[in-house]
Amino acid sequence: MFTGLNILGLAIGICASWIVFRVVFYEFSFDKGHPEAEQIYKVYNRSQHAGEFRSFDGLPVPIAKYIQENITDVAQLAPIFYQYFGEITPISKEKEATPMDGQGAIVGTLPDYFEMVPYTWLAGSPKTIFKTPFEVVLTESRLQLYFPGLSPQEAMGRTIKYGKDLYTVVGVIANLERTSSFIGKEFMPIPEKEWNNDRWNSYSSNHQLYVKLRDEKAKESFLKIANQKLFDMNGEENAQYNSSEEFQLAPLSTLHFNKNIMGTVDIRLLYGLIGIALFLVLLASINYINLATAQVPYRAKEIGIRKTLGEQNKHLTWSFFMETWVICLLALALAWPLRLLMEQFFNSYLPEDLQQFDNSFPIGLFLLGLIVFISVLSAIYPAYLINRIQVAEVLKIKGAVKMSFGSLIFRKGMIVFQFLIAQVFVIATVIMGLQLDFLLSKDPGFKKDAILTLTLPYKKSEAPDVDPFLIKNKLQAYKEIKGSALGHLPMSDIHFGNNYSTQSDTGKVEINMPLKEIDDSYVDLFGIKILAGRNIALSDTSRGILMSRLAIEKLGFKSPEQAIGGQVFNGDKNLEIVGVVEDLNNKYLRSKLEPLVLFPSIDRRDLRTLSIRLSDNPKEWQAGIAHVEKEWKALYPKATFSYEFYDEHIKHLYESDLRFSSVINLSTAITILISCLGLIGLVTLTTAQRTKEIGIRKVLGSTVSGIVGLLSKDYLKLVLLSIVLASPIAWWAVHKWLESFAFKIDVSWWMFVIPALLTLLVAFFTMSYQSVKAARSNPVDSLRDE
Amino acid sequence: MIKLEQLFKWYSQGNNRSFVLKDINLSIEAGDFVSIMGPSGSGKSTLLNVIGMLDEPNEGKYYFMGEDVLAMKTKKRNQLFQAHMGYVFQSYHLIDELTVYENIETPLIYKNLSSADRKAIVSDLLDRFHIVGKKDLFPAQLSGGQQQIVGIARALAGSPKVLLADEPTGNLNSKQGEEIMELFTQLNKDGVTIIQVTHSEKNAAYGHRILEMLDGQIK
Repeated sequence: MFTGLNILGLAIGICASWIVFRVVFYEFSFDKGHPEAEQIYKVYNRSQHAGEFRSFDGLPVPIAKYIQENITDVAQLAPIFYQYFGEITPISKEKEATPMDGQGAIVGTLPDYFEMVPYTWLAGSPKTIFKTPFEVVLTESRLQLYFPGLSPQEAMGRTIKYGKDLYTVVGVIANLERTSSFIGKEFMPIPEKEWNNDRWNSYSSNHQLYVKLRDEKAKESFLKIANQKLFDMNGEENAQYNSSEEFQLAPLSTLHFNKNIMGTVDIRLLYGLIGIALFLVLLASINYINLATAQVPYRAKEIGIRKTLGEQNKHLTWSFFMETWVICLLALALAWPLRLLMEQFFNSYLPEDLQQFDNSFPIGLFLLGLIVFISVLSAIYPAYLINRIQVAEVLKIKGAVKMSFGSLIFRKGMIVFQFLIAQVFVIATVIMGLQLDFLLSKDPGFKKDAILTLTLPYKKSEAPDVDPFLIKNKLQAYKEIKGSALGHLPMSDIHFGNNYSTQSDTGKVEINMPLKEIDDSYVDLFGIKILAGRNIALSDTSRGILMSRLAIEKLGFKSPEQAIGGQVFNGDKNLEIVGVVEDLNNKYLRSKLEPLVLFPSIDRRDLRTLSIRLSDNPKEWQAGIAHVEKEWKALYPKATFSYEFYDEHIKHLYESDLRFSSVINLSTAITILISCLGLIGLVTLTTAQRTKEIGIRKVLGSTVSGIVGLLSKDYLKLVLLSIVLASPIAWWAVHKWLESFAFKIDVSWWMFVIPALLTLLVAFFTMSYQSVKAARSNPVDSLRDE
Repeated sequence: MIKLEQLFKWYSQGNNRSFVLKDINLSIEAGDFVSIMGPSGSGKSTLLNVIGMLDEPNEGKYYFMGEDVLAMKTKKRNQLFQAHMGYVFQSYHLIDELTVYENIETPLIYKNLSSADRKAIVSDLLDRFHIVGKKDLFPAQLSGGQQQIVGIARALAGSPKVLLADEPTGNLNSKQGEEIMELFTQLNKDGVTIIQVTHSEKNAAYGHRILEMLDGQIK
């Protein structure tokens, strides 16, 4: 039984470290192998508005040209200007060209890019490309997409029609061979018009920039010149809005973890994972030590006899290490299927292209090291005890009863440590669970049940120019459908943002706030409460808008009623508030309530999302959905019909939180399991050592429950000690996590007491098997004198 | 006081029964001092354990103070025996982690006596057996004879009517053995019924009556 417990515990520890190592190795392998990488930087913008700082690595377009013309310290300049084409048509010699949908990852850049980022060139050369504007370099994968079966050499000189322009293939490069921040798949020169753009106050994630400086000193002068220019261009406007901005440089070596850059990885998360894996390995090792030590008295006789037969201590130690090593190997064998299972389970939590990068060699090395580490760590103490066994003593005493090996305090300390970790996880699990429940059940300010959402087709190939109101009107005919509305979903990332201002006696107030384009049924469909004024009508499109309570308050109106008819300016557009609605959560509940503007629209491009309220009776949903599909097929024959329930959509917003919590839940289960295994080992040992005492006490009149209490008391005290130590640690960790939510539960004492009771109960039941067994045994057996 | 009728105890080995006690009929009056003798494996310890209800017979009747013990509910039986029996062992079986004082006190705790009562009883016993000076020592710090005296003091703490002793002098030298036997004689004179198992003819002679056992039967 002990061997089984050991292998299971170790397998879990190994499996966890295996997965974590893979992820960590993957994340840390980013952006290696660039020549003189320490001089390469990504440029980003840091702005300040009313004391709030924001970083963004989307830049104004003209900065690239300005740097090229004015900053001599820049050795290489690699803009990443994403290009979008509705249609791409590879021109084939063999058959008629068929247009394809536009692809992502098409990058407009300068030839410098290919010097900064080393690629394997399958055809063409970085020296000869981009001499003329209409040239394209493809990665192997894109080549196969456009010209299936063509070799890189054959592809040279072929033409592809991007939108309306014909481009010639001038190079083919291998797919990305390593993890990298450079994810472009097609490269072309930056269009002349874009290059000469001079809008310094417009930022977009489509325009990013890497530079390679001549030396370390160039950094300062680079920033000085670039920021001076930025100030010259935007300073005046910024001052007007009480804001400021500057460029900053993010070194390539740590770019993947730089929190100022979009889409990067939070390095703290990785440290957290490493921590969890380390704890699990440590817990498993502690278990092994505990259980192995518990067995030493039982093996003492065997060892004693072996020693009398002349076995050397050295050899004894060695064979014990080998035993541990074999157990670790068995654990590794078990960890393999366990890992596949876990990776399946956490698939969505792992980096997407983790599987693409082969790192079996470092992983193999890591596992070997891990096993050696674990076996040495786990075997040292028991081996030391084995060596201390005194032959004469062992052979004199019968059974394991009277022997005590090693310091009990040491083992008790390890139990306290195990339960301390377990308890931190237990508390975290409980509080995270409560918080997520709270988020999902909190009233967001609108109705979210029984709503179906569809994205209307927008690709040219799928959608004829159909007015979105057509499908909406058709759906009115069905009794199973209570209503439908068009416009940007509430609680979603889809919205625009704009500056709105009011003019009053005290001066001008300007606020940047998100806006959603909606139709006239929207407010009703989502049950958004109108506080004053009226709903918008489609005829309001020229001027009338709805604003949320927070929006009017920020703009300086005293009450919703007062705001009705209020004039609001957006640039030189003059708008009028026709209604004020109750605040609703626009994004999700991590963020605070934001002001919101609702704009009426009849424009097909704005009204791409159709929301349908189904009948209150779920039995009619099937029929309702069937009607929607029928109308969809009639209007959009080429587009596939798909829908999503809106409450599911909301759940998706918390997906990363839910996944994080499932990692924590699993870790909790594992740490509790491992800790209890350790407890079983220790209790088994001490009950064996106290058999005689138990017998005496029974003869003297103790009851079974009295004995169970006696045996459990000591260990429950240890567990209680761990809980007391764990609670402040858990409180601190949970507090940190909750800080990232604008809406959160109040942490209160029972969230610590209830998990504590649970853990005590689990510990008690774990021990009860051994202690009840001991307490029920016949004292005659343990007290026999022979 | 104690009456055993047609008592059997056996272990099953496949279809065969190996008898440890075979048709035991025995009657012991209050105030008696009985020595049970016999070679190893003759069943004398088992008989003592059955009398003390640490072990149950497979068949037969057992009357203790006129009550049918085997027909009683376990809880009631335990109470009965706890109140009236004291046990003394060959290897003393003191609890190593407790002091002399605490060892003697333990059975009283299980009888739910108040701490004042316990203190009075224990002090009295310490006095009676002249071990007041040793009350704070641990068993390991005492000689075998002293440990057995503590064992007897502990057995007497609950003021039992019957004292069951399994080879009480087995681990002691002859001088210490004599002391214990004299102690038993004195206790018997004070009214305690004593049943002892012993190998030694000399010690057996302290009893009023000697039962010889062989192969699970009383000769």
